[in-house]
Amino acid sequence: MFNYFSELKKNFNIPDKFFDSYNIVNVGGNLVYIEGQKGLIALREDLVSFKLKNGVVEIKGSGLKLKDLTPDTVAVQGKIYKIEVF
Amino acid sequence: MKFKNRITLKIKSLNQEEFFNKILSHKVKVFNLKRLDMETQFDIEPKDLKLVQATLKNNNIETLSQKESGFVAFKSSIVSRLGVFVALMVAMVLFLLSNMFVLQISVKGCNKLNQNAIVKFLQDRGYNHFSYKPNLDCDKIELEIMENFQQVSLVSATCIGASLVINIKEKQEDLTTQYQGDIISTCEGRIISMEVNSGIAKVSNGDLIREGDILVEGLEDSNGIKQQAKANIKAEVWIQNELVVPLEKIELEKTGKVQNFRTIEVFNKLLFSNITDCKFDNYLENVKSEVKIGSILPLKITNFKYEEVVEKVVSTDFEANKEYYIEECRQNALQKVQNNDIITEEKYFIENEVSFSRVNYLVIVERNIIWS
Repeated sequence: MFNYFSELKKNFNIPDKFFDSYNIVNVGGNLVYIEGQKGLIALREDLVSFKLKNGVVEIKGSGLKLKDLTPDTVAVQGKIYKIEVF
Repeated sequence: MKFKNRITLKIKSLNQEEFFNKILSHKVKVFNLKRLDMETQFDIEPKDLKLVQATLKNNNIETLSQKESGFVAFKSSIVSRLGVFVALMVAMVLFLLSNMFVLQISVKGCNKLNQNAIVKFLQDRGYNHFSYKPNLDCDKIELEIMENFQQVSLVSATCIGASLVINIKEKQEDLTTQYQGDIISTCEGRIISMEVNSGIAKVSNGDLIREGDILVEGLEDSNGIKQQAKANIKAEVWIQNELVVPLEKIELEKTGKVQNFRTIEVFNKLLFSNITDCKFDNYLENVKSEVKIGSILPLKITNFKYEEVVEKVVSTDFEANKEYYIEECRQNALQKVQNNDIITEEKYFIENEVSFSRVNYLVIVERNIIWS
């Protein structure tokens, strides 16, 4: 997987601590890339939620599927309606 | 283009999130995870399959299907057909091997000569089924056949495929006989009249003659060569036919019981045999041997069939069928009557013995023999 955040850090001199917990990228409302996920909480066609270091992320949409799931990253593909972080 | 090795699993369960968290903790990567109600489909790498299957089992999750794609699928399709590939290789090797041996000896062109005699002659000299082809000396085979069979005029021996083909041309019959020029009797009878135009008469009117007797001898010319004798001869010819009818004869009747045995040989070595002693007291034996050419192994299969028979004494009522036997004997005699013969008399004699009856039918004809 590309490291978009490493590129951001390098170009804008953003401190490391900003990238310690999680990173979420919404690409055109059709793909959400999350870095820093700590485990799957819910998995449905209209709702996917993950644990984060200091919270939970919920993605609501339709036709959701996990394109790529690794121990700490995930790419969710589908029609994304809402992303909430608690 | 990336060539992805993936295994697609479809599972069914309620609490699947715990399962996925467990496998993620073991650094397993999951791709294309899709959930529909209680069923979930996802892809994993082949190296993680064992771990995932163990985790599924531990969590009592039902696996609905498992499919392979990429190189893994190709490899498993090859492995599942490994037997076919191995069999093909073995068949090719055996086919090549079988073409190095003679599997059949074929003799062509025999009319009066016995084919089996030539085959047996070759077998006695070591040229038989499963002879090694490179060791075959066709010139030597041709020479040996010419030396040992006087009736053979020309012979050729050649290997065609897995067959040793022997082509024979027989000698023409020698038509010259020591009786060239003479008139020879071809039947039994009595001379009625004789008019000799050329030659020396050896018989005269009223003489009894037999087949092979010289009737008129040809004259020799100044060079010592016999000239053809010429004469008009009229003879009374006796044509007879004999029929012996046994009053009791033994017929063999099959009981229906059969015993079959088989032997299988490959390269002249016995591979299989189930021959034991025949359990029948009286039997008819039928032995059939064939060489299977073109099969994977060059096999010589010999089938032995024994059919039990019992002897049955059958009585013949000669008196009841007497007319039939007389007529049969008559017809056989009439077959020897020539077109221009004049039948003067027909008679038959019957002899009754203890164990047989004999019918003797005589047809007396007048025959004109003209040599001009």
